[in-house]
Formats: sequence, structure tokens, C-alpha cells
Amino acid sequence: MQILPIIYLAYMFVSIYFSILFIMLYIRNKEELFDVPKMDKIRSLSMVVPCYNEEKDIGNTIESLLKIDYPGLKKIYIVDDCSKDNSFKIIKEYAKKYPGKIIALQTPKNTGCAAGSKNYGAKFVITELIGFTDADSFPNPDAVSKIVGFFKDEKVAAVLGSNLVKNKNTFFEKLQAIEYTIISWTRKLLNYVDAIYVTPGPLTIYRTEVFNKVGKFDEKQMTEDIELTWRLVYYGYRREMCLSAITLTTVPSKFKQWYNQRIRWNVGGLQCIKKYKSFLFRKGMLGAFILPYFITSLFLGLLGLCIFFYLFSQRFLNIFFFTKYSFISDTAVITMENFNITPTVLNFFGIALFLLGWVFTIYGLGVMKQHSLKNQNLFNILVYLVVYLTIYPFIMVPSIYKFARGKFGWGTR
Amino acid sequence: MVGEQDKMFKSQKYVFLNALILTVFIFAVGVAIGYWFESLRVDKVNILYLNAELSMLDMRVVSDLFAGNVNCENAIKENINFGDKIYSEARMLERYENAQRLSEILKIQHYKYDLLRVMFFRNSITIKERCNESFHTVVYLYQYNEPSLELKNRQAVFSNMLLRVKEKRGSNIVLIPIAGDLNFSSVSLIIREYNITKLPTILIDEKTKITEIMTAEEVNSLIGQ
Repeated sequence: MQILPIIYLAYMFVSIYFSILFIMLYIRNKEELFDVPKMDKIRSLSMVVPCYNEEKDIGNTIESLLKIDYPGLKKIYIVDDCSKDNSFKIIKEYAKKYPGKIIALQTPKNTGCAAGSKNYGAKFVITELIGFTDADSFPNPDAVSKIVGFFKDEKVAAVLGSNLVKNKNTFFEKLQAIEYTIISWTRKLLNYVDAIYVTPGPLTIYRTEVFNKVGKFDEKQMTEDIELTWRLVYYGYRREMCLSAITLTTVPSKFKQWYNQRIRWNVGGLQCIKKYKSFLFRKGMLGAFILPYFITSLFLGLLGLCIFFYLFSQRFLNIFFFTKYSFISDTAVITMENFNITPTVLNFFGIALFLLGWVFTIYGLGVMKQHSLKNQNLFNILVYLVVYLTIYPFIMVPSIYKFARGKFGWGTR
Repeated sequence: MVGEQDKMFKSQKYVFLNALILTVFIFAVGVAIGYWFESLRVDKVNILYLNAELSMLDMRVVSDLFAGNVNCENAIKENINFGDKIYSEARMLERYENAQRLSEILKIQHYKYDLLRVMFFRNSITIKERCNESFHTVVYLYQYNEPSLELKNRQAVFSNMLLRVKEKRGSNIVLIPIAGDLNFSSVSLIIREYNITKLPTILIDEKTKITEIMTAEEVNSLIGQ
């Protein structure tokens, strides 16, 4: 057998494996996906919000935090990272309006990353729990109350909520909404095997003692939330996810913003892989599953892209030579033979895998339906699967380039 | 609570293994279906080959039984029809072969067809000798094993060029494609006997050799009337 079909079959095997894994996890746990554990007691909580040039959203974020119905919420620290716009002015106005509840902070100098502002804000927190939310994210009023019950278990160091999309107006935003919904669903499924690999920015609450003990966020990391999660796994702490605790987040409306965001995510992912590479395939969830899963999800598409380019270049050269010689011999460049397509078994396998992906996505949206995306249609899902996900590997190439050159940043300096 | 959680994680972790077992099973079933699907094509080619082999044997028997007393008109007609038939089957075999991904059994089928075409070539020469060369043999010797991309396309154009010649000349010529790089004595003999030094080569009436791309008209003029 040639090498290409072997790669193709290996690619399919990995894809089928993860699909089956998720399906099995879903079947086993479908009854309790949205369960919320009862609180044993009210634990004190502070929320920290990093902010840089967010004058448009920060007011709404503060408003949504003020609506949180959790009685243990003591203070909300809004940390401005020396914004160039009016963000800090708005924050101070809220601090004046809600003295003691809203605390306006500003970093001594621009840290250039969300982790810097978060760590700065964390210095002031003395409550049992510390929560973080992004300046463009809006937790539902009951989100925190639903999360806190998970901290009954002493091993739980972090609990995250479900992040869904707030702005679902344009087609591009709707595609991201599908993505966020499927990610939330599958992330919850990973929870059942203690394999949550990220405690994301829109809403995660940590046990303050553990957060400080493991060393807070690593400010050198572009995806500090992934890195901290892996550190928690390394130290044997548990992460939980509450699918019912919803935070709506603003997603990029323009392709360029989205592209930059994904580059940042990819570069951050690569940084994490580099930092933790020595744990790969070692005993424990980090080495045995999280790292291989994360690496596979980053690089599987890239492998597909390489195969695509290889086949594309072959096809291009074929056309070039065939056309060249056809001109010399004065024969037809296109004949009926060209339309006589004989499909290979791999074509059928590919179609089967695509259908599996489609059913999986539709089913996932169905599971989450009560919370979002009631109006998604099959066309959106088709574009999501065929176009949107296909762009990912293309973004991986400049990400690797940036990572290799070491020139990356949040662009917030 | 803590104990329950640990227990739950432990029991859930078997999902990794269960998923792997199920994936292996589904994958194995998929590959088996793939092999079966490809074997259907092999079966189809097998039947066509057997029919072609029978026709060839029939022609050889007729030729041997009635040596010197052969009805030239019928023999030529049968020979040309047979040539056309195995030529179109060769194109189908090539398509199937290009679409074969899991098994390589069609390669063997290809070798068998090539040997059959060598026999056919020999038979055509015999008929030509007996019937005063009233048709032309055009043998197309090409590289079968791992041709470069450039060569593959050159050969495809050679093939198209010959197809055009055949369309123009109809029953006046028999077109016989043979893989020239097969490790068979009969093929090696042809290569040696006709001093073929380069692939692809078009051998017209066992005399003229074409190794460079030219127009169908030019090939036509080399074939003669």
C-alpha cells in the first residue's frame, strides 16, 4: 500500500476515535449534563476583570457582574492595564457609584497581557474564591451561584462555566456561535474523565489558596488559562465544568480580528506544548490524554493541509505537463475520460467521516438547544464544517512561524 | 462526595479503552468493506479477462488448425475486434487501478492482460504475414512501474494521440498497449528484438519507432496506407 492511503487511514482512525469517545461519554452522562450541585455553604468570592481599551464593553460587563445573584460576591476588581481609551474613566465612575463593591485598579505600567492584569488584581483578593471574567464577557446572573456548589469537593481547584456567543447577528458570528456551543458541549464531556484542559477567560472561578499556591497565571504565556489549567492538573487538582452556568461572550465580527485571536490561541497552545512537552505520554491525565489530545487537535488539521497541498501540487503539475504535451501533439486537453470519475474507497470513507461530523454537530446543537442557537440551520452547519473548520489549519502555518520567530504578543502595548 | 467523584472518574476512564476497542472494530469493518468493494472491481476485471483469454485462445486455435488456409477477411475482422475490445478493457483497468487504494491485486491482473496483449501482438503478426499485410499493428510500449509525473503525463498524451489515430483509421490498425518494463521474458524479448531503448515508444508495423510526441497526423503519415 502507498504511504498516502496509510496516512489518510491513520487520520481517519484518530478522528473516529475522538468522535466515538465523545459519543460514549455523552451516552453515559446525558442525564446529568446540566446538573448543578447544591451549595454546602456560602463561600466568599471576588471577581477580577482585566481590561484594556474596552470602553465599549466594560460598562455592560460591570452591569452584568452587578446583577450576579450570588450572596457571597464581595468585591469586583476591574483592572485597567493602562488603556489608551476611556476605559479607566468609566471604571472609576462605576467605582464611585458602587463604593466597596466595584474597585477600580490600574496596573503601574502596561503589562501587555491579560495575565498581567489578572495577577495584579489577584493581589488584592482575600476571599476564599477568586473569579475571572473577560471585559467583553457577560455572566448570567445565576452563573456564579451554579458554579460555587462544585467547590464542596476539596480537590476541585477551578470551576468553569459554559461560554456561548452574545453577538449572533452576522453569518460569521453565527458560525462562531456553532463553534462555541460544540466546544462547551465537548468540554463538559471531557469533564467526566477529568480531562478539562482549559479554564477559559469568560468565566472561571478558582480556589484562591490554590490559585496563589500554584503561582497564579504565567505572564509569559499567550493562553495563560490553558497553561494554568495544565499546572493544576500537574499538581493533582480537579477542574469541573458547569454547563448550566452560562456566560455570553463577544466574538470578533471581522475576519481580521478573528484571525489575530486564533493566531494568539495557536501560539499560546504551542507555548504550552513546549513548556509541558516532557510530560507527553507520561502517566497521569496530563501526559496520557490532555497533551496528546491537544497536540492532535492542533496538528491533525495541519497534516490534512500538508496532504492537500501535496495533492494540489501534484494535480497542478499534472495539468501543466498534460497541457504542454497536448499542445505539442495537437490533442484535446479535456476529453470525456476526464469526466469518467472512478471513486476510491477512501472517497467513501471521507464522505462517511464528514457525515459523522455533521450528525455530531447537529446533535451537539440539539443537546444545547435550550440554551442557544435555536435558529441555526443546516446550511450554517455545512459552511461551518466545510469552510470554517478548514480555515483553521491555514492559520496554524503563520502561528508556527510567529512562534518559531518568538515575535508574538497581545498587541496591547 | 470526594470518594464518589474518584469512583466516577475511575469508572469513566474505561471509556478511553472502550472507545478504542469500538474504533478498532468500526475501522476494521470499514477496511473490510473497502477490500470487498475493491474486490468487486477485481471480480469484474477477472470475468472480462477470462472472456478475453478465451477469445484469444479461440483465435490461436483457429489459426493453428487452419494454418495456410485461413479466411483472411474473417481473421482480420476478428483480430481487430479483439484488439479494440482489450484496448477498451485496458483503459477501464487503468481507471480501476488508479482508484485502487487498499489492495494491489489489480496489478497482477494488469500483468496478465499485458501477457495476453503480447500473445495478441504475435497473433497479429502471424495474420499479417498470412494475409499480405492488409492492416497495421501499432504497439505502444510504455513504462508501467513508477513513472515520474512528467513521464506519466507524456504517456497520457501518447495514449490520446494514438486514440485519435485509431479513430481516424478505424479497422485499418490494431492498437496494442504493452507495459515495456515488466520482468517477463516475452516482453524482454520484444524490447530486445525491436531494439527499444526508451519508453514510451510506438512501434509501427515492427519497423518504425516513435519516441517523441508528435501530432496524430504525423503518426498517421508514418503508418502509411
